[in-house]
Amino acid sequence: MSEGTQNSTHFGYKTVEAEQKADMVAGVFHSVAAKYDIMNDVMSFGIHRMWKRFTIESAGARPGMKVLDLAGGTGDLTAKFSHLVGDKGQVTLADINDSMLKVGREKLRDKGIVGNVNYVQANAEALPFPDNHFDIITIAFGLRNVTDKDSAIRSMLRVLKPGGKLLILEFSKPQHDVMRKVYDLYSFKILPKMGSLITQDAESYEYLAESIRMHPDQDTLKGMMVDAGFEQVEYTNMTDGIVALHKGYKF
Amino acid sequence: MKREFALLLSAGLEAALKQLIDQSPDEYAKLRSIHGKVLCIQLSQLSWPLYLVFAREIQVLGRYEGEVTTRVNADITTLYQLTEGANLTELIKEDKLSIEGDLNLLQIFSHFIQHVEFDFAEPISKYLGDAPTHLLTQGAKQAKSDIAKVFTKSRSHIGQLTTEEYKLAPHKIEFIHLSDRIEDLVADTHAMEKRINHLQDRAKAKT
Repeated sequence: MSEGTQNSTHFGYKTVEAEQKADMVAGVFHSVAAKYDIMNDVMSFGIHRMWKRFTIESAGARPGMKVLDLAGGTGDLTAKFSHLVGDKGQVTLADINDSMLKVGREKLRDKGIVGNVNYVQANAEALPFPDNHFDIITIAFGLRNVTDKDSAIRSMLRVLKPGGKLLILEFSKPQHDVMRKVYDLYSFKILPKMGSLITQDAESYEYLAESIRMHPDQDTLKGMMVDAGFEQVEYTNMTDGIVALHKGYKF
Repeated sequence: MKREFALLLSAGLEAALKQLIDQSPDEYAKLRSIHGKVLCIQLSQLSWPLYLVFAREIQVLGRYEGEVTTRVNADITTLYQLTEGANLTELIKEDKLSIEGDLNLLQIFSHFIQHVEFDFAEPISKYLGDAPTHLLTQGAKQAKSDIAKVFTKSRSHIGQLTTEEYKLAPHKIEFIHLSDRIEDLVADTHAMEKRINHLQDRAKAKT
């Protein structure tokens, strides 16, 4: 499922040239990197921690595994995986945005998480890793910012080991009308105001709300994973589908 | 809802254990040997197990697919007894606790939990400052003893109310008196029984 016409794509509700999207997304994250963590807590009332915790449990990481935390941002998942895979395992934190990567690296080092974590600045559409390399790939709240989602998913399939799994944690479509209305009100009216109060940057949070709406819903994303070649693809709705965790295996 | 509850519980436990470790990093650092080991606790009160993965920080999960070092089935009160220093082998003998796998891990961990003293004032003082924290903890202690006092007082009040005021229940002395009289009666009855038997024996002997 490519987006828009050949050369254009979505940037929130705006249509932009495909080549521009990466730069524009980068702009958003450069501007929010420093306060990313606190904004996550404020905006989601801390529920994002539960979403991430569920992702960790679903990932089933074991000692000695190789894990790729794509679009890992400030390293929430990486920290957990680092504890779970132990000294023999390896966690790679990859993000396309070097500001986010720097914040993440600083945070993890301050926590004393060193040794089994690598940092790589990488574009999800063309992952700089060998074939059949990782046991687990997670991408939490990152796929929606990728310009060409199909090639990103194919690229993840390539670097996964046979038997490995991909977990996509991403905003999705609420299942009930009431929830949808409350959610719309919150994300279009309240969220940008909160953004402008805390980070003096309403636009980035408008982009956030809009990009969530433009992101494919549960079944579309599932279809995209199946098309790319993933098997046993399934998804779990959380908080009534505001967020969904998609899981697929490579065999 | 169960899923959310399970996640919340793991998160809470993990945060609590993290606080515990943060307060006594030296103690936990000595436990380097248990890093990478996994303790699975199946509480009879919960329908899902809890996995404690030991690493630099203890991770608490509701699901774990890797190898489990030690598996424990127990009641929550039994686990509490264990942290209070109860004897592990006694509990196993009494069938209150069953263990599969490495016993050592459980022993090391319960020893650690027993020997770190959790100081609630320490984390609070970071946010409030020392003096308000002292006031708060003193207040909490005071409140605890006050509540205990109110509890014992109201117990004795209710006792007095039922015995003295409404005469619903007998007074302690009345009760003792009654018991004494019953004992007397029992003794008398025994004596009477003996006497009757004696008389019967004599009557039989005469005929």
